[in-house]
Amino acid sequence: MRYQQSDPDVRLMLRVREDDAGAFEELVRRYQSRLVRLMQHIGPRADLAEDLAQETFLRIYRARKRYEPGAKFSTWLFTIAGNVAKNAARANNRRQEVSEVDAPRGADAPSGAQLLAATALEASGMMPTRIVERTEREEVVRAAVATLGERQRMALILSRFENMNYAEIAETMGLTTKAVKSLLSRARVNLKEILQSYVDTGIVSDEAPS
Amino acid sequence: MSMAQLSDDSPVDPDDELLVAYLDGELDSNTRGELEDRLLDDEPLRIRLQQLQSSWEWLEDLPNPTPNEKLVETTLEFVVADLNVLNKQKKSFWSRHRWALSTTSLCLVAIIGAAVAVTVQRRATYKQQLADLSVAEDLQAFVHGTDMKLMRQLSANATWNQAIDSASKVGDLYLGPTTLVAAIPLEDRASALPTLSLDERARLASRWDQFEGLDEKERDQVRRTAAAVAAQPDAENLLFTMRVFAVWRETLPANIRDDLASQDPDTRSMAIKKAIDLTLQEATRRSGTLLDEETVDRIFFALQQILKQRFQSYRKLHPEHDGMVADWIRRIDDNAGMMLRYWLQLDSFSRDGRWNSRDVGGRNDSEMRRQLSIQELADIEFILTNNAIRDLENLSAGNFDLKSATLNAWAEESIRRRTLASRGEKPDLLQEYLDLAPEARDRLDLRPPGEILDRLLPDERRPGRPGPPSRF
Repeated sequence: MRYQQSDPDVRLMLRVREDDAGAFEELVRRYQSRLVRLMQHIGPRADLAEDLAQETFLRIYRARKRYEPGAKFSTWLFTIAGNVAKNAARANNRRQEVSEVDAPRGADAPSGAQLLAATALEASGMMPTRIVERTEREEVVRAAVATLGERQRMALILSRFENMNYAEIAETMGLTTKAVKSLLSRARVNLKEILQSYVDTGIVSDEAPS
Repeated sequence: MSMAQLSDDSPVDPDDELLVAYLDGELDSNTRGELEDRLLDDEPLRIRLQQLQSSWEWLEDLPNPTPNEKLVETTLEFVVADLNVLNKQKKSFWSRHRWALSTTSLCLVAIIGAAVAVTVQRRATYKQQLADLSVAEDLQAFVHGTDMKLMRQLSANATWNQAIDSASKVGDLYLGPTTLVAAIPLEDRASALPTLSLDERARLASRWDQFEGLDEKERDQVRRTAAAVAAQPDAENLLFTMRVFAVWRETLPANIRDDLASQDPDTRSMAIKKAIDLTLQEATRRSGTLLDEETVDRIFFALQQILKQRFQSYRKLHPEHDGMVADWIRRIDDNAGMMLRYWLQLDSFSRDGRWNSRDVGGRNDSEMRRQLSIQELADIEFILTNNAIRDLENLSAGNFDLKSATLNAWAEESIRRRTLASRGEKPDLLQEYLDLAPEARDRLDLRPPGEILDRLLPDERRPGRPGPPSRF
């Protein structure tokens, strides 16, 4: 009831529950781009972000009749998005395993960390001054975030871009607040180490977190 | 500088955790105040805070999401398409579950079909049983009377009919009621069965058990015979003859029964003749039971006169025994019991007055057949009642020997009854039994046969006791 009164998105979702197509369209408009951004970071592949966002909305709509306003709408939405991303990652891993069996990746195939290093070196052009253009910085940051663990990435995006507090992140991810606090600390430290290493030496750590 | 990244399980520096929470605005005012005090004094901590903050600022280089109207439309179309698919799936529920539904339906149909089949089968079986009941009712007739030609011959044979009639009258043959269920239409039998008396139902049940005891082949044979008989123009008369024949053959010795079933016409004809003679003789022998008391009185009187005449003839030839004979004659009238003794000695006194001593006690009493002369028989017949004369004619069937035997049997029966009456005895054990009080009869029914006989027989006639000959 509390969320129903305070969260306008909850009220929209309640209308969707009553088969109000306009309300659903409004929710899609409000959240689609944010979902795409989230999926770009927590999904298995950035190019799947839009598809995964659509898949999330599809699940929202299918589940509309069972919706009960127990939290902020965004919390519920991002919880579902997290599940969609995990399922997609599993499916992607299976496909990858099959393709690896068919065509094993050789020593030349780059890992995530190697990709980041390659990107950084390419972007820096081996220049000591390491003046990097914005687009290049974007790629570096994206690659750095990609090296973080799945949960660190999720917590980072929810905190940094969705402005969720620890309690909301904990509810979205099904964790305790203390666990979120530790998770975000590791994410910041890791990100600092990766980017600082790049800035200082042009070399990034190739030890990705598990 | 290179260092391993912190995994989700790696320990975190408490200061890092504190600083990150500080940057995220997650510290309460006290902790925040304490940290800010530390930052003022702690240079490395301050540098660490700046590093953590700067790395976060790099994230600003990531592009902000821009609304994509086309993507919104695509998403809505995607959802609508999915909705249509769902509706279609709902609409095509039957087609999606057709196999399960079809299987379930088939199972239900099969179960219902099986139930109907069982019911129909049971009804058919019950109907067949009702039809078979009329066959079972005359099972012996259909088993033993299969030769329709023989049955027709017997039906047309006056002597056989006479023998059967006589045997029935003297109780040698019990034909029983004609039918119980055969005359009832098939559709009414089920409702008619409960209306039968207990005796009738018990009789039917007994015959049904016999029918059920046959194997299927035998039952089919019996059914075919019944159907063949029913198809005959003289079916009713034929079935009656078969029924009588079946009962009759049970009274015959085994060798004659075998000959009756012979395929050789001569053997069978001879067996039929023997069987008829035997039946008539036996009926004649037992025909005394038919006599009423008046007839007994009349015959007894005639016998008294016959004895007197024989004694008179003897007295003429033996005048020296005049006194003794006069005493005999007087006793005939005074003492009925003496008639038995005189009767046993009848053959010793011939009609012409001669004494045939060799006959007295020369034979076993039970085998003795007193010989009345033709005239004496005629005298007895002369005084018979009309009913008795009719019975005599029926039993003898115009045969002189049978008539003679019948009259002799009647003479013995008359003397027996009068002798027993003079002693105060019942004419037979059955009558003795029937005259008992019901409670006494019930008690007697529970005794062994030997004890029952002891109880019914007078003392002097019980086995091992001295007394007159047991024939009477």
